[in-house]
Amino acid sequence: MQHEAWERHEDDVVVVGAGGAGATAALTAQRAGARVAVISKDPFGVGNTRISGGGIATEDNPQDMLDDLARSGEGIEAEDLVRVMADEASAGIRCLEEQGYVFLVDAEGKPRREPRGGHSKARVLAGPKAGVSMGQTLRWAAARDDLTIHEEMVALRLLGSREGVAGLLALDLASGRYHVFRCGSVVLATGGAGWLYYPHTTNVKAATGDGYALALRMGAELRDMEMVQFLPFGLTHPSCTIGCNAGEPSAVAGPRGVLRDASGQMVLDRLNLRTRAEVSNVVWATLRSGAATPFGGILLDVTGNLETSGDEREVWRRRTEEAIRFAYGVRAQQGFEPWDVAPTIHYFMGGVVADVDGRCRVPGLFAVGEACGGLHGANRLSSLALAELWVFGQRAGAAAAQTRTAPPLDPTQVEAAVDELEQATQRREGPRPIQVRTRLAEAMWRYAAGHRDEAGLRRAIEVVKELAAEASQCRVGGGRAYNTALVDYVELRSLLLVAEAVARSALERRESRGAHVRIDFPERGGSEWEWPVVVWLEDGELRCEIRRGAA
Amino acid sequence: MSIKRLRVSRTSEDGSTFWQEYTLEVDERITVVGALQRLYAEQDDSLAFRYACRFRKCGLCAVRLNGEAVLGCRAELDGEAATVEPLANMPVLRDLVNDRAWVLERLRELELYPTGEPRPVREDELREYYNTIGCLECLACHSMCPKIAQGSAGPYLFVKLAQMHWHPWDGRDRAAQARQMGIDLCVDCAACSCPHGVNIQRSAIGPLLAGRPVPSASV
Repeated sequence: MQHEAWERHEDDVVVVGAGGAGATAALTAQRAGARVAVISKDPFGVGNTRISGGGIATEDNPQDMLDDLARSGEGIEAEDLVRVMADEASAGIRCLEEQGYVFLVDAEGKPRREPRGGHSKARVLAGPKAGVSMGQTLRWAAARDDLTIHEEMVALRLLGSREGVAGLLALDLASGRYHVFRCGSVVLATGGAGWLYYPHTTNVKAATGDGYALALRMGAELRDMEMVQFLPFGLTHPSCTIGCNAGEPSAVAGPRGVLRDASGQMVLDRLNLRTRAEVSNVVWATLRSGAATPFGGILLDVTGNLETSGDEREVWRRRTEEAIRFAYGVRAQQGFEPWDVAPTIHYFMGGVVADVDGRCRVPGLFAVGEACGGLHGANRLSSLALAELWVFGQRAGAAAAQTRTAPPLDPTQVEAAVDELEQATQRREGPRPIQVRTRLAEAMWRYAAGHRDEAGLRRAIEVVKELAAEASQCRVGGGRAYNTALVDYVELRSLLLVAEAVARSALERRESRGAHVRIDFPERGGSEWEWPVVVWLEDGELRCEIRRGAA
Repeated sequence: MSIKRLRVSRTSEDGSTFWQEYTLEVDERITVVGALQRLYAEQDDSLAFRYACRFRKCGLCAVRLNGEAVLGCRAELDGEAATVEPLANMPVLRDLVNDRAWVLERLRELELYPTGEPRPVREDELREYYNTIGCLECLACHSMCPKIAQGSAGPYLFVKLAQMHWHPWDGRDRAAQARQMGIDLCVDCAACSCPHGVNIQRSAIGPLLAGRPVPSASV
């Protein structure tokens, strides 16, 4: 079906993504006087920010946060980003409040500060109803400041060259029309890529790493793509619940919670005292050893807590998620039956290489939030994923608003990008994008998830190459209006590139550090490994190296 | 193993609607979203429907199941047959996807954002705010409202108004705004309910109808 001529826009700043980072960058840039447009695959303020637990870190004494981040980052965190995060955490909180957010308060009316694992002090604030009230707040702020927002619009290609951004090509999902934005600055706030491992993810459907791919194709670099955070306990059945977080070990295990393999043999005890990494390690080892349950999980047995009494019983707070009751029933939720659990991917520590203002090495290109890499190093401290959104969102917005004149658009660049997509809609036969995506996710779960080794990672790269060849022959059926198969196809192209980046980076890091575990290199390496693994595109091929001596 | 027969509302290129029949072999519990995902992956990738989080946190998947507005990721397919349609009382973009563009427009027009400055708050001021802020904006309540046709703005917008009414630093008279938006049509109605647990009558419509003032910070 022939497409109509594209709609044209002229802006100073285009923000891709409308979670905490994107919304904040857009609001800040507009207040600084720039003409701003936001494009978002989902409705504004709906994304991983909104579905999060809502815990956000603050800090009165920057050195304390700096120390905690250095510890969790395990030597590969970007020191400049960490310093700014620690210095400006409280400024980020003020920004969120100014957007209209109301925190949970104590008896004196001050925001309650909760302790959390990995934090040396109680510094985590929260609002009512977890991230839902954050998502609401972003929508209020957008309405109040009258932001120009294009909802359910998908970014296809950045326009321009390595010498500078000229604009963006996007697809409006509802109408199927192309939109060309000419602008001097693009801010990528597209989040992570959890759906690379679908269904083993807590993330929203939009988390397909589009910003990683857009940046790579424009000549920017990614870092730390091997650092993918898994939560140890996700649901495993029924199938429509796979990936849903079942709770933190420290919260739900209680003093007597233990892990058992499918035969009932105990494989780890005293779960509430273990680190998340220790628990994850035993879970992955059990899954690989063939002792997994028929659902591909391990058994979290909390029934021992029912035998306790007095203080111990009080300590076991049955803060189970409603998800457990939905999937496994009331008896399981109350601890009378073990739960079948498997890891679920939650967060990408890696992302686009950027400075403290989100600037990438391509002039005019910015990256912020989960799309940006380096702050968290080898592992993410809880509540920092939200805290960074307002800190760096403000900075990137202010920097992007220092507008540069966009170079003229090259119409042939636009036509080439459109033609590539249109070809897929014109094929009469070929694999469907959803089929290729499913096989990609299966391969990544099998070869590039928790416990990795060289043979598996090389196999993952082979599979990516095979599937990339298939993807170039994909058939996208349907009409122009609200064609979700077309979105699947666009996202597939992003996922293939991200998958290769993850696998190559994991292959390069021949040690185990933080969230990255190599069973063929199970120990943490020496100081020669305390550097980021970086990927970039060169002549259409993905290159990868550990960047020793990087700032 | 059981066979589910699904009648799903579809739209043609010219915008007219028709029913499409599908069958699905199922050997476990399955939600509406789970079933639609399987139909999409296994049988028909032209089927359009919205969802994002799969776990009752984003509000995008609301549809009508057997005539009742539900969250698609929570409502399960019981029984052999089911009818799935988009939500009522709002335009349909395609198949099960409703047009949501009006939502942001209304947020702007009605100034549904806190109009004042941040100030210190007390915990007891915030209880009703907490009760309304959990709204997922799924629009199920809007779908089931029988008064929209008579000119009411509908329960979803009244919940949004109530969020501002209870917000500690909002300065507008939201009860007056609600009266302009037809809230008097809600008297003696109580047809709407929230699949996510917001008590619309008690926390939103009731207080707005009563014009109850927000507790003063100086007390």
